[in-house]
Amino acid sequence: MPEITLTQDPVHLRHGSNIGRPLTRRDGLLKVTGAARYAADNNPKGLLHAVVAVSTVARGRVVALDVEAAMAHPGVVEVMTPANRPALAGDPDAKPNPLVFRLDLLQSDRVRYAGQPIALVVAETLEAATEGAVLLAPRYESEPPAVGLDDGERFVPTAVGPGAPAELRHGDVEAGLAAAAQAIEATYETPPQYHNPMEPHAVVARWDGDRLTLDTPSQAMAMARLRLAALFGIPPENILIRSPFLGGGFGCKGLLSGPQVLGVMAARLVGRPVKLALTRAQLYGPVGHRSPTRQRLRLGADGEGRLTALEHHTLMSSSRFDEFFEPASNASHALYASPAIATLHEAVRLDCGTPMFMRAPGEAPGSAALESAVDEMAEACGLDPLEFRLRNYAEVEPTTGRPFSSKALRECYARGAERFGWERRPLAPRSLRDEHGLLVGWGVGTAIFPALMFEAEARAVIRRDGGGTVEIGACDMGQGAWTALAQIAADAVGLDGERVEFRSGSSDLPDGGIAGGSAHTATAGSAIHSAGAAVVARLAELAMADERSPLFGAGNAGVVARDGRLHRRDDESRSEGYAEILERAGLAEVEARGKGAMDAAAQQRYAMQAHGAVFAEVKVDPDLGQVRVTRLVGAFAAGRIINPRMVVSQYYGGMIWGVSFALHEQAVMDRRSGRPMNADLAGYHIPVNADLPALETILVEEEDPHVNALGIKGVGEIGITGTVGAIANAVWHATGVRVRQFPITLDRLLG
Amino acid sequence: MRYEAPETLDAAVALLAGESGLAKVLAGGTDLLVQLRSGMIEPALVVDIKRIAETRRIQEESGGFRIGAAVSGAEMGEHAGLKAAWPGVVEAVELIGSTQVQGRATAAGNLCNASPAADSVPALVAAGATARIVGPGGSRELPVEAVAAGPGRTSLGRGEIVASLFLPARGAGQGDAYLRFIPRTEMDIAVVGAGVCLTLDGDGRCTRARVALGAVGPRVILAEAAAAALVGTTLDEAALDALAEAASAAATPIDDKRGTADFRRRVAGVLARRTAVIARDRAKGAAA
Repeated sequence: MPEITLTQDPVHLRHGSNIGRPLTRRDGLLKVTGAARYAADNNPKGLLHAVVAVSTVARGRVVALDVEAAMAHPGVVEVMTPANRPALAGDPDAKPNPLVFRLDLLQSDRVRYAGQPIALVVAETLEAATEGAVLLAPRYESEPPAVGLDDGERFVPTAVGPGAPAELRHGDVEAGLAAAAQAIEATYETPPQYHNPMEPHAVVARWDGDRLTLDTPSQAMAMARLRLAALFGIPPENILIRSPFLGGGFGCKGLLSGPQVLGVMAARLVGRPVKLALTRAQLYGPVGHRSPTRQRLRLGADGEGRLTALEHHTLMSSSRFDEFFEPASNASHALYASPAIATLHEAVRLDCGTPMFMRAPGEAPGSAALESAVDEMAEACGLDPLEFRLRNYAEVEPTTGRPFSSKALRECYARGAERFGWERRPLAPRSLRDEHGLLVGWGVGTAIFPALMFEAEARAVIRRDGGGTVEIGACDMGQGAWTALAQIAADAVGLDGERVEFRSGSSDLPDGGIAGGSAHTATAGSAIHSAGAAVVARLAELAMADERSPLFGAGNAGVVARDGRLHRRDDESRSEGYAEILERAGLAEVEARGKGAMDAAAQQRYAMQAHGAVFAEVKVDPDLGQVRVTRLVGAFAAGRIINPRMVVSQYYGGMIWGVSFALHEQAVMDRRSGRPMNADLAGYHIPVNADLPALETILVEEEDPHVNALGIKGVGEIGITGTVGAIANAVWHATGVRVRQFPITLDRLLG
Repeated sequence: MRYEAPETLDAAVALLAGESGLAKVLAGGTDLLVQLRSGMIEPALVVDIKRIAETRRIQEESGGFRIGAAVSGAEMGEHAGLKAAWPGVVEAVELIGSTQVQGRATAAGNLCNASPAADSVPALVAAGATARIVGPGGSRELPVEAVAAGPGRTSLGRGEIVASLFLPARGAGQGDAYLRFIPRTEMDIAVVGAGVCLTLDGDGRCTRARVALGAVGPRVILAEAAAAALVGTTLDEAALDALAEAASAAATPIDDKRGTADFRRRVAGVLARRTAVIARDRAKGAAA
């Protein structure tokens, strides 16, 4: 491993041996033995069970609830409705910033979407609460809902995603199209999708006076704590959130959802601990989804197959009462060089729950459409789709001219293509068959995902016993954060991993930021790295100022921390152990805090993106249109890799999301009721192991000196980008049929 | 809700006949429990038949097999004799659900759930299986295709239950097969299912055929014109084409979220053809 140069203080260096190792999950044993305690596994003394009753209409008013019948059911303790719910200190419909979403917390009888909580039944048993919720037998005054993208008035949102401009124009698209030798226009559609983590949202809430303890899965504990503090009018320090494990999140546990808060309200109302766990069906409404999109792409290319114009227009939806706009067109910002690029968004308002960040928000549907369109453009130019992509390789960020902080996409293309055997691909579609007569097709897609960072803080301690502790309120949602961050922590304090106690997963630790935006390792890792640097610097100061230390006077030469010792940088034979330094100083321990955040100056100067290339093989039954992905090879370059085993798993996961997006996932909406007709995993398909091919990933080395001190980009979501397009393009190559509606289903393929 | 687990068929019949409210029979429960949990039904009485000895066994009878109503799919799959004689039926039963579901789900339950997409039913119909129905009026045998009356409805009267299914002796030169079409690989409901059972003479000429189609009508369809397209032929390409065409023509599907009617008609033909080829090859093996 190369030395890690600290941007904060180049005098004090550490020498890492933990980062880069393919360690297995630290929590693996807990999970495979069932010992990992998830939120709903907690059963504090005196616990009551709450079941939420949800609306079956999408728009209207609740005009009657049979509270008496529910209360009369044996075991039912309380029914919480707008009439008796505890008062809140903060308005759940207030919108102080774009990352605070409006919550339905029984403030009125109004129904804004199907699946909205309209009451909550608290009982001694789950069964009694469930029966009580049925006995409420709600009646509604309902109005016809707006359900599809053609049902609403179009408008241009003020911002898309987490605050990006809805429109960006670079160069003259019309002139580029007019000058093009070849031009295409194509419209792609993606359906509403629901996050569907394995673990439905659950909360176990307990009040002690004005102190609140809750077990609930969260991808961002500190933000959840602030929201709860505002809603209940108590200081954030009074709230303890424990979220050691998440059974997946995919974005729907990023921000606190309404039902989680309802559990807290119920606990306050009844004065006892309350557990509320959503059912699978109840995940289709109040916890977010991905909006459907209709994306129109217009591309032009010159006689050499170089883009002259790229316009990406997305129509998507938000709820009638809040703002989240899937930023799909922005997938075209930084990928292909073109003198003219326009990315545009329009939205309609539907009677649905508010859409939310989900598995590469924007990038996933945007990449699906862009990569399909680029393939269609390559076909129009008579070029191999990979060659077309190379001819349009963006050496700098096309819309700004900024250089990339690092970009090893060419190597991704080359290594992926070699591994896949791309050079043997015939140009013409429908020209490959396997030994059983199935049509075979090969496709490629480029993966891209921004290297984001949020803000986080960590605390590092080095003790006189020679061990250390690193604390950060980070979130392991299954991605392996506990493992990778602990590796960073060990290097940060210059100790072997076994000697560092890594504490995480609870809101009383320093704010670990958000496990989202593929930014958790970079952000939390940077905070840990800074905290480690700071604590090592304290130790170094002690040693260098002490004439009894072999490091006395190291001064400008500096020291290196390694294996629990500080070494003089210019003479490594002169060293001293942490324990001795602290012993002599008469200290039990030293501690320091550090922060992780984006370097704003670097961000101004450089475009920061992770890249990759995904190659797909599909086989299609010519009579039935049945599609099977038979091979997927993904080569990704995402800066420094902390734990290759975890990263490969995340790439696999992302690529599986891609298979899901391309071929399986869609919520089918009932146009009359506004309800999804397939609100369960029997009807809402995600691929199972039997649907997946052998996956292969290639980790392409990439050193990035600009993104952050550790050189980390994100790996969590990039796998879905590129993959969807690669599969769609492979289906076209197999069949000669271009399906522009996702998922690619058999009826669409057979026309 | 009252739960009873009698030990004789007579007791089960008496319980069911004596209930004035909704009464349901519990065999494997893989449909019933889901319906209960999701609130689709609220029976007054559930009669568990798993403690009745004769529902729990597979018995050879007149060269064929009598399969008790509470025999699970896994047990059918483990029965070598049954599997050798009626591979198509056993494969169809084994397509129901997952490994875990296989430990509970029963063919009789699949039949009585009366889903048009039930996997085992087209194979049973093609095989010429019968159901033994016991009730207050005694016992009767009914061709399996007469059990379902429509989606979720059976022709059984009050107090009647299916006690067992009977698969006749497999004849010389006879072979059966079942194929199901779903978009994904496992764990899905049939878009179309096709069961074919046919008999070949010593010259490889088809003397008898039964073709049944699932999920393309309110009930499983016994496609007689499709079967007729095979009889008298050696199952050459022309005969298989005629079979496919007749199967598509026999299908009366609807559009739903699993597939359009047009697509289903097309798949019915393709699937019937592919199933017939497997049945033919099995019949040839049996004749040899």
